[in-house]
Amino acid sequence: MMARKTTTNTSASLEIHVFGAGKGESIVLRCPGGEWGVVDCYTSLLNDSSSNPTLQFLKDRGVSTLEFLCLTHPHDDHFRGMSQLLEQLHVKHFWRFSGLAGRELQRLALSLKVDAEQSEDPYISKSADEFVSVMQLVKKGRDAKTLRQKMVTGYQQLFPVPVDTSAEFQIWSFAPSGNQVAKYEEALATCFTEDGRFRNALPHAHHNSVSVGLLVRFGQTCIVLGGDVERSGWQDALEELQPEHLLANAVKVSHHGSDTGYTDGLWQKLSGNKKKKLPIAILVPYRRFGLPTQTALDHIRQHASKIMVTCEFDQSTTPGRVTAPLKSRLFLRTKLRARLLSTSQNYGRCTLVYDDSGNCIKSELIKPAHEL
Amino acid sequence: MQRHDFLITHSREDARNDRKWSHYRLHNFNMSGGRFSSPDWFASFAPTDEDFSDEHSEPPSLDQVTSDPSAKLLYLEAMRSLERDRLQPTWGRIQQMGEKDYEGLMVAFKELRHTLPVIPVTVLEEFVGFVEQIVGEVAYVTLTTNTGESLYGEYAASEMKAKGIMERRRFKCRTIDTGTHVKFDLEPIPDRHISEERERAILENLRNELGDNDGPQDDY
Repeated sequence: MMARKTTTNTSASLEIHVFGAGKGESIVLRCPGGEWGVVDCYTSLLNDSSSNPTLQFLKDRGVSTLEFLCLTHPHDDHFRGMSQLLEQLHVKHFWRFSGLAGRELQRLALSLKVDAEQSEDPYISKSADEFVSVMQLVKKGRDAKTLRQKMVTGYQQLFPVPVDTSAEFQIWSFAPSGNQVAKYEEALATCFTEDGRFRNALPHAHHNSVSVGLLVRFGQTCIVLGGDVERSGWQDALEELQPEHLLANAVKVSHHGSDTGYTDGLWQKLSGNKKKKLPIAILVPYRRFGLPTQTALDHIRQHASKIMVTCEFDQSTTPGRVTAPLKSRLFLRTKLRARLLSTSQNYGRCTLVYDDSGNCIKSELIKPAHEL
Repeated sequence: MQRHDFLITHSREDARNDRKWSHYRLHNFNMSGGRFSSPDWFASFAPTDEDFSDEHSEPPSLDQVTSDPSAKLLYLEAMRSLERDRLQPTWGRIQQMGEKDYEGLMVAFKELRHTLPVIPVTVLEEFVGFVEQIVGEVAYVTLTTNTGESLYGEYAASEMKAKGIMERRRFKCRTIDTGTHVKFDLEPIPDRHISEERERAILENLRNELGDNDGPQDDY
């Protein structure tokens, strides 16, 4: 277990800013030393960087360098818009999901590109192009020796660089486990024929199995960033980590609050079995998938002091507005539980500021973010 | 299903009901001075809820039947058949009087069907659908209109797959008003074929763009 120093600098604080508009999530961290880092990035409009909430937030604060940029897993709701960060900011360290290197990464990119061409869906196509752009920009940075990459697996220290287990501020990974990575690679291999031709895409949810999960530590403060870590990933982490490693002051709920985003006993560990102050949960809804679910919310509520959400979402109790043509829309609502998808790209922001003793010294909700 | 199927007496209970209704209608017919009473006529042929399921064709609506003068002929033919088939109990057994013969009625009905106006099927809305993700038995779908309005919802994944609609694939969706109820049609949008040459070209581009040296040797 790592040593934790008690800070003497009372003005130093750790800031976490979580953005979401109903699809996709971005997390900005301001380290106690003043460095900035980003975990995942999402914007709906790829051709307009001024609408990228993460980039604009950083620019507004005069940030030109990111100490780290982390891509938790290859889902477009976590990487769309990341190329704009790589293009417009100096990124020193790039952390990404493990398991795919060199030709394997090319295969993943190939599967995304061919799948996009087959489906002829413009959104998928742009997402596949964005993934390749991100990886291309990372390569460019590595070639120019301005960026260093780390493929994340298991429980390891990522920050500071070089690693210092006695540092006051540290970032550790807890997922994906080697086990999950191996399964992912096996599954991806089945997407290709023996002669290397693309056969079919990996089921969409499979990419979550390599999602990076992070522990951000500042003295006695611990913030858990769950990425899209799924149940099996959490089970591996619970086996690997000591219970005190997961004692959290705040948790970015994994997988947008889905029923598969936690496992038995996880939230008990995160909350220290209610023997300490309960953590604050931050949720980033994914409206199209009906996330967060009521079941997950009810479960989290038992173990969290409060739940902050980045935007509005449909709870099971609200049937939603029905628009014209009424006959058609009423039918679709009955048959598909169909609801109108908001075209608003109004990103809400949940901000928490912590000292090194586990105290939340400031919390802020920028609408439509709210507390449940 | 043929509409005259509803006339077939298939149980003792049905037979009793048919007889009761037959007398009731004839009584009304006489009381109204022999005036044709279309709602009563239609009631005798009214299908059950089950017959309105998606798989069945639709019966003529009340307005459509009564607007046609030949409906009266059909009614009279039906009454004749019902009278002929009037049942009577004998020693605890149900027997029919005379031979059961619906041929005349069927012929009349077939003729009438040709003269009835076809019920217009109205397409209410057309969407391009997209299966965002399949989780277990649930397919999460997005439906987008040609004006760009989007709806999202859930549907049984097995039914989507049965129609050949897979995850991360598009499909056509139409909501249709059949006159009596609304239903929807789902149809997959077939994948574009990507040739081996095209695939090789994409891979070659990716090799150039991403390189081969993305391995742990460059990790820190």
